[in-house]
Amino acid sequence: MIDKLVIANRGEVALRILRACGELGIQTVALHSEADADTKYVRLAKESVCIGPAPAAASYLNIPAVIAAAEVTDASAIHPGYGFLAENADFAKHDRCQCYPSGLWFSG
Amino acid sequence: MDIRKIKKLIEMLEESQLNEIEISEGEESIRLSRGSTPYTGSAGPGVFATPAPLPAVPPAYIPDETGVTITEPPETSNEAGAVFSPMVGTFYASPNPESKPYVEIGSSVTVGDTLCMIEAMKIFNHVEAEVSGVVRKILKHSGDPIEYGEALFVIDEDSA
Repeated sequence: MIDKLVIANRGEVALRILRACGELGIQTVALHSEADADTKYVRLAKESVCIGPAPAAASYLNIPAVIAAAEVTDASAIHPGYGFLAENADFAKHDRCQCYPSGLWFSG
Repeated sequence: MDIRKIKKLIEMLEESQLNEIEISEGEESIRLSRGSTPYTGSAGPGVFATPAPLPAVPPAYIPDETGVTITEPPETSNEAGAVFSPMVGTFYASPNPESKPYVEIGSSVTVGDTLCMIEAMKIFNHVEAEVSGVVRKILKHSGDPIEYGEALFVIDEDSA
């Protein structure tokens, strides 16, 4: 059972995950880069974590930062949305991701 | 919202220690921020009016905005001599729970001295001093979750 989910994406994709989780009663943690700190999806999420500077390679594509954010917020799942880490097979195969029982979702 | 009311809120924000005020009244809501975060580019207090919630969205989808916890920029983030976190993780002031912290308030540090550790994915990363000086503030405690770019210490740089 997922009680808290990390959204490893930005903008409209993150908003849609946020709404779906709202419907399902799952808590959400929005991840964002420094450039996106004041965007709508970050403000709507109950919790948010800044994971890196503006370039995506250092934030949304930074696997250690995304997983560390899930750890510090005590989340049990990561939703990569589409693009970014959703297209990264190494992320899905990552040791920590395998630990989440039904945790890692992919969409798109 | 009345312009005088907004002006009053700005005055309140300036007099207080707060970084941000957010007030909702029925359909209207206003958020005032000091603009200390670097990406806004504004030096003084900024005013951001937030749009009213979209009526098309059923209420069940609208998450509670009042419970936002760690989105607010740290108070001292633009203070001179602040040391920022290079990563997301958990803050540790000492190498293990029994030992003394790496630095205390008043400690002298030189370039390359370890200030603290940040744990991410069971890996302990040392945060080193980039300047020589005296530790003036320690802004976090062991076990605190840390975001990227959060201020951890304030160091008064030696003027020599």
